[in-house]
Amino acid sequence: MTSKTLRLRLLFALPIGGIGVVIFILALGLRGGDHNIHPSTLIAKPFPSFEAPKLLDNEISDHEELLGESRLINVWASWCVACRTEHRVIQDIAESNLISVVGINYKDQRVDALDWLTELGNPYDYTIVDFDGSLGVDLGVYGAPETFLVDSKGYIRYKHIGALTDKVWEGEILPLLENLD
Amino acid sequence: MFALGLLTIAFSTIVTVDGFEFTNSDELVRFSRLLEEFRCPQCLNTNLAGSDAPIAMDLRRTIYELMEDDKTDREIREYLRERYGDFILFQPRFTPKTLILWLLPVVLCLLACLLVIQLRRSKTSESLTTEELAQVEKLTSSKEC
Repeated sequence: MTSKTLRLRLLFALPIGGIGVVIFILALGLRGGDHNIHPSTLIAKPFPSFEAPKLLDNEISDHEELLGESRLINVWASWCVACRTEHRVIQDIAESNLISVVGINYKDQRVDALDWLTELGNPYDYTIVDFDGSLGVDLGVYGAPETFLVDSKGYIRYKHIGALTDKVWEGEILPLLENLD
Repeated sequence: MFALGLLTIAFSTIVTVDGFEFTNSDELVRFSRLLEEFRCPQCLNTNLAGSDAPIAMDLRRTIYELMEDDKTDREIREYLRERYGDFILFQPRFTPKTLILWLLPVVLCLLACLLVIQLRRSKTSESLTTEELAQVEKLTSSKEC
């Protein structure tokens, strides 16, 4: 084989090799599990400032009230089917007394929300009403349920999109919580 | 998208689109343009203008409110990106992480150009020299068939 044809072959190998590299990169992208929003956007950022009434007594609550202890903040709504399935997990967490659990009632009707808590039980220390979803936008929420771990200084440490499970609580949130204390 | 149809109607006083009020056509054009820049977080790969998801409605309202607060396009983009991540932008930012995304086409084009030039060069050098041609001539003409 002359050096000329060898060089030609190398030249033809170049685009094919290039395509191989691109395929490899795309394959890596497919393997990375989460195709939705990266939940990391708000991690290590302070919880957004807000003022909103509490569900039970209409008393005004704000972001400063969250300070002082770690909080598990759970975005829920009575119209949300997945919230119903995760409710038991939230209740178990609240009963464990390991962390204060606060609810955000997201784009709900007050009557429906109260009925929901009466029917299923109220695990929340208190629930903040986000009637129009504006607090949700500040939190980057795109649907209920979502759950945030906020430290005692008010910084967001973890965000879970979708229904909370025992596995997520024990495997991801608890270890983080132990590191916070 | 949904608003552009209304642009043909002359703006007399106030135009209301999807519950949002606009006093001049520039605002409405800007609003429509911004809506098309963002991906709806819930219905993947539709923009905020084309999505019926409740969150898209909330974000439309958010953008409208930010416009009312005299925020620039850049500020509005940053506001949404801070909350929903790079994901919400249809046009990715130029960062070290997206470097490959932006530069790969340029690099590939350059490589393709190099390849074409190389191929052309090797093709011309493959043609016979005048000496070789003379030899061929000699060989073919001297032989009797």
